[in-house]
Amino acid sequence: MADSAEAGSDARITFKVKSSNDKMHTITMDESASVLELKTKLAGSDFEDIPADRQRLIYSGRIMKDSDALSVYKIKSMNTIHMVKSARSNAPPATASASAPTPAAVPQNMAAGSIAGDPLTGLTGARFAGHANLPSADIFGVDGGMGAPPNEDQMAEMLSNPMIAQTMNEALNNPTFIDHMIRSNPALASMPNAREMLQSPYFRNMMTNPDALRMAARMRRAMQGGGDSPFPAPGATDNTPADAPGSAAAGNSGNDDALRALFGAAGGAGSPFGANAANPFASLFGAMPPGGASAGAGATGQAPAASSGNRDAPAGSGNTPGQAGAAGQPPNPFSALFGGGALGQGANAGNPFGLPPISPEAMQQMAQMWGMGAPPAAAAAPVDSRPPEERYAEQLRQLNDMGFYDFDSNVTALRRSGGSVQGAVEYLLSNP
Amino acid sequence: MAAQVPRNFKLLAELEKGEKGMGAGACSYGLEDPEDIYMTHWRGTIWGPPHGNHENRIYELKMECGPNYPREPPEIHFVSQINLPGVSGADGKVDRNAVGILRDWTRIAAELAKNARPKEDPLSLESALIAIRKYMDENKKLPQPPEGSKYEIYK
Repeated sequence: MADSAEAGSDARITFKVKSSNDKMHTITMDESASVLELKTKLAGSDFEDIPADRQRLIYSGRIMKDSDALSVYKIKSMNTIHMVKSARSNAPPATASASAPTPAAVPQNMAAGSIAGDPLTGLTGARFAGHANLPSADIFGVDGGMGAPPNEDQMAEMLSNPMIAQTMNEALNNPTFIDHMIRSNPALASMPNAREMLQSPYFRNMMTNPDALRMAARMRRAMQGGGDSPFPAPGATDNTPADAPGSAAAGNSGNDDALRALFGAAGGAGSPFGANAANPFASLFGAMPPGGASAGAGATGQAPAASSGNRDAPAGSGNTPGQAGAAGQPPNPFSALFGGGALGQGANAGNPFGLPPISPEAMQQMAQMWGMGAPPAAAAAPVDSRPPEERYAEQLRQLNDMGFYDFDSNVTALRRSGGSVQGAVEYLLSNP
Repeated sequence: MAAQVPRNFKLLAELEKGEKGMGAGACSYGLEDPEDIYMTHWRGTIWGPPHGNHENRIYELKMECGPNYPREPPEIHFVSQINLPGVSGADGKVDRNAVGILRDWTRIAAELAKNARPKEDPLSLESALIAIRKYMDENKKLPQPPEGSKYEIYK
């Protein structure tokens, strides 16, 4: 063992003080000096420049009390005292404990055994401190689980939870929250009656009723012709949100305003009440082929027609080749379909589109018909510029779950299948 | 079978390391009584890990190295009150199963006895303290009793 503490006959000791920023000071003091004197010395600008009452000195596993003499701690020559800076001026811990008889307001016993059954202890155990690699973020899926935003199905799932539904309801009852929502969303801010809309029971129903959300999702997918691309981020260039209001409005005549508002707000699409409200048809067409100039022209050509009440005149000129079958009929069936109040007027008996009310199933059928009838439109799917890991986050995760781990070939397969997991799996299995 | 380093040699080396402050600087430890020739009772402090409820706190612990140390882990108690799963609310005893290195101590020790000793002994009072500190860091969001409060039996 090293020399005993009483080495210096003059009772002076030399020791080191190691501060929290790894500075070392070598100090020689009388053994009879108090800890406070040492702290005062350290407080000097030539040492640590920290007020004495913010220093805490620790030697050999114990906190040194101000009132004690250094000799109490039997510091050996050239040994090290640690100095830790405290945030604020506390009473020294020892005296604090004496003057604080009130025990903690904190649960005293956190059930010592509880940890035994914890399935995560294996992962969080301290033995991983530098000895083994923790599992990487990959276990949460691509991008560490930061996939696409939840789609309607997931949202509906979430809202089936009564707790969440209740939270939503409470938030919508809170005028401050509504204010915030309106302010933070340009589409809502530019809408004069946004507040009434947000507070309306219809809207509430749309936001919180999982069935309504599921239905909306189903219809949106149907209108996209089966491509289940994730819900677009606000400001995304493709115009899927624009078609959602149209489809939703058509399928649900009772709730159509609320629906449109819902999707307009959620998708961040500008002024959902503008052209869409007047003519949901336009958005419907506008959504199908963004690249297809002819179809776009058709849609815009019809927009003024429908809203002005003159349903017949320009419709023929606006129709695209893809819709030729429909275009031949003098009263444009589509305008009749979406005209709302004037349903009977333009409907011809043989045209299913003219029949009120239109069920979601009918809408789905219609979408399929369009999908088949207008191949150019289907080919010109919205150009999605997002990287594949983002665009196909959900699908990639599913593929990973199924045991396909090769990212590159997964992406290739998804590209070929247009995002369909089933198609991708078939491709992967046939091209190992 | 490689021989286990005798208890006293190991503890002396640890004592020197602790007193000279050669450790990582997040904890400190030393003999409770420097005259204790059996080196059974030890004191330790842990600087609370930053960015949480332990920040700027110093936790005092006591450690007991039984006659079978280092084949068996030290018995560790918190002296400062702490709210941490696996730490007894009555006397601050640290449950071996809560901290990986304490739980696996005997197994690692047996392994070390068989094979060549690594340069850095993974089993020591310091590594136990550091592991506990890490465990505290994992639970840094738990509310904590007022700083400086101690368990009844140490008052």
